[in-house]
Amino acid sequence: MYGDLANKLILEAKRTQQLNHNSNQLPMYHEDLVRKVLREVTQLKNTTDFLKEQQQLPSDSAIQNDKVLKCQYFVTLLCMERNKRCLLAYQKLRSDVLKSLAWGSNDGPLMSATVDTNGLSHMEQEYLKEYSGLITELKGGEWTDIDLSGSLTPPSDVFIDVRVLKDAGEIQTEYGVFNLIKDSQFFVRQSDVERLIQQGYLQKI
Amino acid sequence: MDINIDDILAELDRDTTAVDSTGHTQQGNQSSLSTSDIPANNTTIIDVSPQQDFKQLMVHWRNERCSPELLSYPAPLVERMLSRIQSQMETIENISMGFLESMSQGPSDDNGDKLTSHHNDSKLPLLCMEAELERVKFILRSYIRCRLQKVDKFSLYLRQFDPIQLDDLLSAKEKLYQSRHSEILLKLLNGSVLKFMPEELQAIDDTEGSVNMIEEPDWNKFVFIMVCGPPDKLFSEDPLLSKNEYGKYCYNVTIAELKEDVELTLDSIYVMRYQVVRELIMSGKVQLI
Repeated sequence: MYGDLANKLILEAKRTQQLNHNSNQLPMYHEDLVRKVLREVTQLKNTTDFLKEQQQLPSDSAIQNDKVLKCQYFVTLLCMERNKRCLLAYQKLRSDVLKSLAWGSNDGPLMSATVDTNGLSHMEQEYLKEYSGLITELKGGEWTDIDLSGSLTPPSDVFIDVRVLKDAGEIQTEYGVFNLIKDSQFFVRQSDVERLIQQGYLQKI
Repeated sequence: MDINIDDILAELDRDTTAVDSTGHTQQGNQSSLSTSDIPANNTTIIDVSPQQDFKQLMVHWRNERCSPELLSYPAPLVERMLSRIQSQMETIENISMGFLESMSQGPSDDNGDKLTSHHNDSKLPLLCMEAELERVKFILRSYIRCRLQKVDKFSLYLRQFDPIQLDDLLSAKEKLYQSRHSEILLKLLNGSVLKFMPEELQAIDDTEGSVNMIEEPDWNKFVFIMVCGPPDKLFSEDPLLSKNEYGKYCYNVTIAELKEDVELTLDSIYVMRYQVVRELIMSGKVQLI
């Protein structure tokens, strides 16, 4: 039936949701499946056009035909609506994940660490870029002092122990210079190293 | 026979503060001073102290996080907090600069007076100030992020409002965010899905289809509430308050669907539909927890 392809897409969306819930990653964009659903929509559209034409034609058994045509037209419309809903749900879910990625990791103070963009459709890549731009714009102005994309776990300790996970040499942050040698340990103020923890260089102990 | 003189005493207490502050008599001893401070504070409600503002912010933060709808934006409060954060950051910087100076001066200077004064200032107050600042910043950040999430969620719903209502509901920045984000999101959805649809199905905010595409807040969401009473604590002046059979103050609300009346007693906690207590929350008589 007509809605079945779209159903596959929704199953895919559900899997994405679970994946994202567990490990914060985004699988490939299902381009061929989406294209198939869109092709189905085009077919349905042709059907409705055909039905409309039929309705215009004068025929002998007009009253009986009219009833059938109305029913056919309505069901095709419903199928298209169903497909639209599934496509939008899939796309919206993906854009939500992209949004959380943009908030989470895309802009440290140095704007490094870009997200892996291979699996995205080019529309999505554009969206991600523009959304990151929007976030940067928001963080300026009156909200500069409260770093909006900063951590959302309440600060419970002023100083923490961190261990270096990745060798990164000397890294310049806003507050000073750290020499990040692998497996060395620091006792530093939490607000200084929050960014480095987000980017995965440090591990909080 | 007991003559209740509490009200006379209260009046006397208020008098002594007035006299004390002018400093004409020395009657007011320590104990009367400390007791009279409390009613004096209570009567000045429109108190714009940092402590009061922080308490207000906490209330706003909790309400925003728990309520299903986007609440109105307390612009003056947030503005005050932001300016305070800025000045505090400057203060901290100045103090730590002072530390650096005294460190470099310390050993070379042999003046006894100066040395002892420098030795006295420990790092502890500075540390506390920084930790405090981090906390306030966290709350503001969490508050704004929570609001932005709701703005995203109700983006289509918010578009229906007229500009005046929006001014009250959103800050300038949030409005900017809303319009810009709905623009780029629409571009994405248009480009990947809607473009290929027949014309009658291209709308993103279609309310006539089999499913309504505009998501409204869930007005009947159950929320935990704590009944606080009127913010100024003048219980007798609140027209909504009434006494129940046990002599306790309570608000009477009606759940429309069940046609059931509920008494919300002061200082107690309920699980209640949001729609029912919405008015009380707006006026600050009930808080979400």
